Amino acid sequence: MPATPVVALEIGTSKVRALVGEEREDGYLMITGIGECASRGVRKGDITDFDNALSCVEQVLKTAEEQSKVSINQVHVVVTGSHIQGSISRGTTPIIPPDSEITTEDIEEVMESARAISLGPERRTLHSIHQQFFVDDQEGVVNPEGMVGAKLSVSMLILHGVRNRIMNLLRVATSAGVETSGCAFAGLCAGLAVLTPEQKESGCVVVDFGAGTTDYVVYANRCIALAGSIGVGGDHVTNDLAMVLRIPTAPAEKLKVDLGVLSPNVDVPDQPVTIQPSGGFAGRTVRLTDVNAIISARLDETLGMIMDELRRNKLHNVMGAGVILTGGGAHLKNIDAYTASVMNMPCTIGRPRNVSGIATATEGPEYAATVGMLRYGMRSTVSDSSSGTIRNMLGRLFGR
Amino acid sequence: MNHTQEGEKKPDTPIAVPSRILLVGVGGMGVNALKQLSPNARDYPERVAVDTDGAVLNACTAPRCIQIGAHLTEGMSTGGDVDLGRRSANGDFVKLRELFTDVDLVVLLTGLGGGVGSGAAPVIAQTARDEGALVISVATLPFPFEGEERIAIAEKSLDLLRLSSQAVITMPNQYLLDDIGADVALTEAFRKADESMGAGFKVIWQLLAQHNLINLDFISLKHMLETAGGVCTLVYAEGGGKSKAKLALNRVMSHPAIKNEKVLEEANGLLVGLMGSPEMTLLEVQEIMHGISGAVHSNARRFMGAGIDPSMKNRLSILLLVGGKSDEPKTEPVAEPVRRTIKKPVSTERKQPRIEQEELVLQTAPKGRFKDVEPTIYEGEDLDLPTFIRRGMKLTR
Repeated sequence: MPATPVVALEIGTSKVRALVGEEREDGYLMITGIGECASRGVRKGDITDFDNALSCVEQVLKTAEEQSKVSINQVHVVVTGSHIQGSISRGTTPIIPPDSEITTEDIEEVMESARAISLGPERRTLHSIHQQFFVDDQEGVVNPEGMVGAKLSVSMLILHGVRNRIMNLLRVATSAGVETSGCAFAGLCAGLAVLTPEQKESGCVVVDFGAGTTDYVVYANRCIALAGSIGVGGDHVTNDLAMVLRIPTAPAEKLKVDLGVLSPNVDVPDQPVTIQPSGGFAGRTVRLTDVNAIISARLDETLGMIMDELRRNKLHNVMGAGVILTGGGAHLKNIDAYTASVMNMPCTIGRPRNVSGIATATEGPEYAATVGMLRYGMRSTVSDSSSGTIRNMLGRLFGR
Repeated sequence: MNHTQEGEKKPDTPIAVPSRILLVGVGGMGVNALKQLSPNARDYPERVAVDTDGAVLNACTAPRCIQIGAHLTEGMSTGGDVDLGRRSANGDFVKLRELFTDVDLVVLLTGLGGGVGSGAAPVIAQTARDEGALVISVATLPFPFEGEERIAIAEKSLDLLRLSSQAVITMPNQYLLDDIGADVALTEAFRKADESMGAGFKVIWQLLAQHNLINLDFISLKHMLETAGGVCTLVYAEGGGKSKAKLALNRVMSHPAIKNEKVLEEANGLLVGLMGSPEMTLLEVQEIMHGISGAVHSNARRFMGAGIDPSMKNRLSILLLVGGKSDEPKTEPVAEPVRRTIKKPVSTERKQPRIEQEELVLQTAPKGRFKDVEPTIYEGEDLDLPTFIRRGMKLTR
């Protein structure tokens, strides 16, 4: 049966992207169309200029349509922004009569009670992902259906964000004349696209370095343990260089791309770096030690925030597969070695797996979130038709 | 006819009180302190209780209660978990920001050492300040017997609180212990701690809000706090009977917070508030002012207010607010002035010598492309400013 194409749209801080993809029978993702342009009207993942963002979206959808030769009516939208937070919620329900068999209704009920957390009127839930069940005092139950107990509990990761900001992203898409059939958090998408089952199994943290935000998702103890977004990204690194060295943004960006970052345990040579004059800027000579200090201060801090979050949740020792970097920031020279040394765990660059078609453009880590959105979109279409069993719901996000 | 119109036009002389004052009790201790202010609620500013614990909030008398971190703590206390307290406040950032919209002065009462007081109070202060309010935090420090860990926590969060408030008035409970004697019942000791915080604030409030013999206005208080450089000691004492003035003065002067720490000698600002029965005499006022002035440096700026409280009945109370003991927070140096640029609050002047440095930092710490977007605030820091600058790093050469 021919698979229906799914369209993923990412309105990012530096790039707006649309991907059209189909799932092949062997599970490979076939990309049939790509639209991409430099983003305007987005800062730190939030829409700041609606019209500019809209014209970008219209442009990328048009290109993707032409290339894939399908007409795009529905899109899945990647959502990011520092307002997105994860909270862990626990729900409990008694099994009546006690010590009888746990039914689907009990499971539904307990999950419902865990989902019912008060977020305040301005926030909405983006994802509620169940982590594990507890039957009486037994931890780590994957599927309690048919087990016997007096009390059933569940812990869930609730990802939530500010309603209006999410709506603004979706509104750009609808204004471009397409329906939005769903949305998902960029960090989760990136994980879906790049992780192998082994990485998920042994525990890892996916860090999606965008231009405006750094999103993370932590797989540990066979579930998604944590996720969140920090409103700091590659733009901040560029801006730091521009502000501290007092140079325009364009040469600052070039400096960042050209030099990257040096490992913290390496002696930085105190050599001069010449910035060429351009567009009214007279050119300057700065020191490599300074450039490196500015960049690494920012990286230290951002990675440190994720590390703190891991420590707070006592997960830093269970990251067997270490850090997987995705997003445009993963292109920063030597970032993997730097991250490995700061976070004291192995670090690799994550690239979308099992993708074919116009693959050359989608092999890079910066495509992880959009490719993951395609996968997520496909799963949600499939599991809508089949019954929503626990395993399916888990499968959608855990990718098993 | 004309006459009455004139009379209507000119109501009571306007009182020098900013339009909106909010009294916020944070954490168990802060909420309890609010209770001490409750009896004649009519006279007080808006009171708001903030805690994670639903039970504490239910028992409190404040007209407005805000529960933070309900989804993190399930409506229970933080159990002394500072981080949980901090996250609770951060999680309900929007709720808090709403609370402080259009507020001019926030007086934050809290007890440091616990989860909410130590964790949430600095976040709440910062939120209020970002909304443009002048923030005065009144914080008690733990009793020595509460353990070294708790004291360490309190000191750490005191530093944070100093960064996020324009002024912090500390009231170490240990002084209270010296003051009331060690053989007092435990519950009594804690009640006393709450009470002296509440009573101290009550005097300030009465002096600010009522018609007084000698008026103290909001601006003087602000000046006093600014000269003090954000560090104040508050002492409150009462005296009764015939020689009530002498008794109260002695209690103030022999208070361990004054006597042991020699704050008066080093003070650069001083505020004396007197509250007495209608029979209070000029002689008594003179005696007290003379006694206190004699102990301070002649350069110290002095502010005073005196008022009448009919309910005092042959008693007299002294409130002494001493500022400027050179007890600067350790973490302050470079990072702090930068944070001030998040949003320009009412006034952020500090001690004279600091002003120059502050301007310099403002110039070198612009936000570039992020200047028009909502700042990313994390633990009170504006992440849009370069980390390099916030960490006080310097370029080579």
